[in-house]
Amino acid sequence: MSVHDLINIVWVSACTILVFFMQAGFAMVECGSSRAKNAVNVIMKNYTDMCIGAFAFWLLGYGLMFGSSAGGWLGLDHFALSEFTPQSAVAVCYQIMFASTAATIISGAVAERMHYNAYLAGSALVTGLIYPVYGHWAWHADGWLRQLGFIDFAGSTVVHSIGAWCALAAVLLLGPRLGRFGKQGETRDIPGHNLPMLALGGFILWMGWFGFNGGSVSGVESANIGLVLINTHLGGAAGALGAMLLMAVTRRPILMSATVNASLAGLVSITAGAATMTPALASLTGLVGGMLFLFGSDLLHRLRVDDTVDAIAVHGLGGVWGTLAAGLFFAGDLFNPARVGIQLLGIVAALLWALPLAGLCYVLIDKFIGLRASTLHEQRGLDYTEHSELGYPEFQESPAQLKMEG
Amino acid sequence: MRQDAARLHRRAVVAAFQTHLTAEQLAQALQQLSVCRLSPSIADIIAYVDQVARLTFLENSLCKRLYGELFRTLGQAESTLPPDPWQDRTVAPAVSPVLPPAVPVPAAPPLPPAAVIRPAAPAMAVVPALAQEAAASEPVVVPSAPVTPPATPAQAVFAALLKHAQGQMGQSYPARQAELQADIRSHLVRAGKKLPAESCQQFWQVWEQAGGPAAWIIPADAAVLSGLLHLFYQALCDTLGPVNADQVLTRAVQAAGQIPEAAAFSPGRLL
Repeated sequence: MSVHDLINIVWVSACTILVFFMQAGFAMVECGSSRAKNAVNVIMKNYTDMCIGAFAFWLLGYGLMFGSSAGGWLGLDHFALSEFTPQSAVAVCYQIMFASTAATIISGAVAERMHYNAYLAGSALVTGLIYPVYGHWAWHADGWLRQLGFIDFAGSTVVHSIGAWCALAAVLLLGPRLGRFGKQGETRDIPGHNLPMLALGGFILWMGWFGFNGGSVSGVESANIGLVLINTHLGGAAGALGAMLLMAVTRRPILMSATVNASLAGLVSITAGAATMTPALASLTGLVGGMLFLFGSDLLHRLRVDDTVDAIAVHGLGGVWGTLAAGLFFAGDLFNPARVGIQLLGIVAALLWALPLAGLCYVLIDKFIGLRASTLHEQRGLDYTEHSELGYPEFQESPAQLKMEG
Repeated sequence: MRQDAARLHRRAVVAAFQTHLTAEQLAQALQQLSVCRLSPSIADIIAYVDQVARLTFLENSLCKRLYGELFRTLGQAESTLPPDPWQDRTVAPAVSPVLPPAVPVPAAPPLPPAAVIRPAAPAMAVVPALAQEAAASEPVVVPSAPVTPPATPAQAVFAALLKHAQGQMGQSYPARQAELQADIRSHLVRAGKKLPAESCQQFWQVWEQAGGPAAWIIPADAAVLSGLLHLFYQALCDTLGPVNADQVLTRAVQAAGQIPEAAAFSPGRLL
């Protein structure tokens, strides 16, 4: 092995750890955005979908995604790999983290009313089937989208949009939380119980994104790691600033929660084109992504779609825009209609693949397990009803007391 | 020693609260002293005042003033405090929960016919002719009216909870009462076979009439009462949103926890 190979292994290993830690970022964002009585449930979903996803992807997903291609549609081997080269071992581990990221996007959207077991079952299907098949199309050397020239450097569509469309299917089937929408269509605010936690999650995710995008370079010798990291950072910063600007111009309060989410939308947006844009256009991409997040959030509220953490607006719309921007702002080939057309095709293919298939999966899960927790459990909080544990026992009825009271 | 401390606390509370609270509210505050721990520590003062505020519907601005007043009077010399209002009593007087004045609620349409209870058969009346005949020979025994069994602890706790919740609605959301009534009706109709029709009808009557203490008692077992409470919570969510609904329910549960029957049946068991 060359020195370059060794450095690449070390670099991707470090990025693997950073992407792993994004799970903590998601957990903090989602937990902070939820009510205290559901804190344990949110954390458990994030913690265990990482565990479930690890096995679902190792046993099945990796093979579907990177195995020998059947006509560019799905892989047929490399399941439950146990023999590796030094490079492939790190690559598999890195991809496992990506798969878990796609699944965990759903956990925030469905928070506060979904059965824990139903969520885990869905998570296994997302990481084992829905995500890897699309990933094959977009990232496998023989994948039909990639063959057409589709660009998605680190997964604006492959990871984020796929996760968002699966989340959309879930929230449409679940319905909104009790009392979320009034009779005149007004949206009732359900504030998160810990906004500093939400912000901490934002910081962690941003840090992890350096690994998410940085580890996707072809190799350190390609010398574009620096560009990828700069574009990633500018994209996130521009996302936050874009949303703040829009909130100021429209005379809305400049909310911290919206600012953090907008920076995440900026990061999602730049994920597709981080290696192929100039920093100026990366900033524009992030800026628009952050603004689109605000529009998307408002639109979902108007459509009475209850997404607890605005995951669909962040990852879905951010992913769509980022993938489109990767085609529009491709360095040295700006606004090429053919390239943009391919990007659009990839975006639509993701939507048509993930949304109905996830919907079908959740319908089946509802039939056999039950998707939605009862309104009684929703009122009492899923911490005790799903996990027999409280997130803040000093400030809530103790489990012993609750048990005694039946 | 303990009695001296209790007496001192009562005198300090009277000194701090008497110019701000009505007589009923003050009586309720004194009653709370037997439940809440009070000491000169700021945490205890705040907890006590907050508890009184929850029960007597005091505004936040008044609460803040009372924190300071009570802190001051607890530190005052005993000779400057008013006399103990309970000095002639050995046992704390029973105080009914303070409710804000009832806000008239517009009449609502009745439930569908399926939920209507058939009225009970009228009590037997003595036929005058028979009475005259019987009076000549033997006295006629007139059966007495049916005796209403006393409320169970669960029923009493449920009644207190409901009463407090309606009080909060009248105090904090008077303009939304009609909407809540409509939402309750909607949920009762949708309850279908999940809850007994008789209990649903009685719940509806109780809520519609907002009557005296006896009207709040619904003769049903704890499981049915729990179902009715959950139905009420869902209606609250529809009307007020989940955050305000949780607040109303939490305060009502806390208030219901103060009644004597709560020792035998905790309000938490209805949730």
